[in-house]
Amino acid sequence: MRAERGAREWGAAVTVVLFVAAHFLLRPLLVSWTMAPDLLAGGILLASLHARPGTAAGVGFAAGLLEGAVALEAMGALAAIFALAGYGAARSRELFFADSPLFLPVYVFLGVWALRLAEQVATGSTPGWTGWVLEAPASAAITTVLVVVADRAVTPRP
Amino acid sequence: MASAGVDGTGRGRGDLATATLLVALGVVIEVLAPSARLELAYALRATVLRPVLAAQGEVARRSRLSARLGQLEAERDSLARQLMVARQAEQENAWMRALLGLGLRPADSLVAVEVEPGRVPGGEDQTFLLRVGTGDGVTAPTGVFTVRGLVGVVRASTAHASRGQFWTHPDFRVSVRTASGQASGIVRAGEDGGQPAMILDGAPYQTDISPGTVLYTSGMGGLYPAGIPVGTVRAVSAVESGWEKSYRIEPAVRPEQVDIAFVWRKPSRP
Repeated sequence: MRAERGAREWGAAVTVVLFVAAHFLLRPLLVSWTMAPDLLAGGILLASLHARPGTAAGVGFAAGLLEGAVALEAMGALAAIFALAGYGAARSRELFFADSPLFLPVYVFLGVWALRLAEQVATGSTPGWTGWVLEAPASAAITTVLVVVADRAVTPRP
Repeated sequence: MASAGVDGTGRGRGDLATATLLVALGVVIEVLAPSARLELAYALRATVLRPVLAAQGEVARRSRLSARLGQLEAERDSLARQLMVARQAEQENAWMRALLGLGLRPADSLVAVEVEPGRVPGGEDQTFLLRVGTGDGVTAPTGVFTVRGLVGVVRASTAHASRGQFWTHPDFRVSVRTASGQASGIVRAGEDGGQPAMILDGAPYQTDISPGTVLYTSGMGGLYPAGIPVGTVRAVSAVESGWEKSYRIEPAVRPEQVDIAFVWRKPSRP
């Protein structure tokens, strides 16, 4: 039982690292497509699902710092926002009914959407209303599919 | 990754303290001086992000080279011809200055450098990083350009890195003039049909600048050397009655076309 839990935790950690690494590796492609999946937000939310709130905040902080260093914009603001998002997401998962099959998709979709909008506000980019109500939700939906598939793969449920 | 399990009050407080500390640290980083933030970004890019950025750079370089090989050969031939003419003009200039009893002009120089764009998701290219700094004689603010024209301006420098803004940045301004010198104005970033474009403000009302006219840096203000192409006039965009005109400008260089650029090492004034 304990070994199984340890393997699940390791699997989740590796998935988070893969999401973050893929985000930075594919960044030149992803930034030019407005509806591209936000793998960084997906990685932070995956961490929030499996880690303690403090750890999730640390993952968010590190991810924000790296994103700011690549974007050359709002490094501190991104680190603060992502740390807050990691902590908030990890705390809020306890408020939902985690046994519901809809929990994970809704949780990831809303989280990615909110995080993407916060990121755009922090970096001062102005995507317009289509960006807020069309591109960000579309990106969140694609990210949700990827995160749910990855989460099911590493932490299979009965 | 440690599972949350059931939170004890102590662990919950510890998590809250950690998150608060990290958020505060983020705020501190955000309010740091631009050169300190650049130093931190440079350190991360040179360590943790180095493999990723190197892989991205290599892929981009290969795709650019294969697409532009013919164009690069033509550019090289054209530059060789221009160099021959320029050498002759330089000799004549030195000879005429000697005849007039003028001393030698303070020497400026250029540093060739790779431009690493920083782009936010959903946004345009507005900032870039250069791996040269005050240690290489580059001091902010100073102009960045290619053979084709103006790229942007260096805004902050550390010993070995600089952060710059492309002309697409809202804060960007450059003083320009036509080749004849009859019209001048200030170029800023704008939009044309949803695409980033340049706007020329403050052009004289009485002087018409015809479409197709090339605008060059005037050299005023000392940020950019004079004579660098900035863009080509497309059409009048607005008229302040009896006062001044604004024009839409097609930029000489778009940020996504830039890989290698020159940074202006300004001459040291006595």
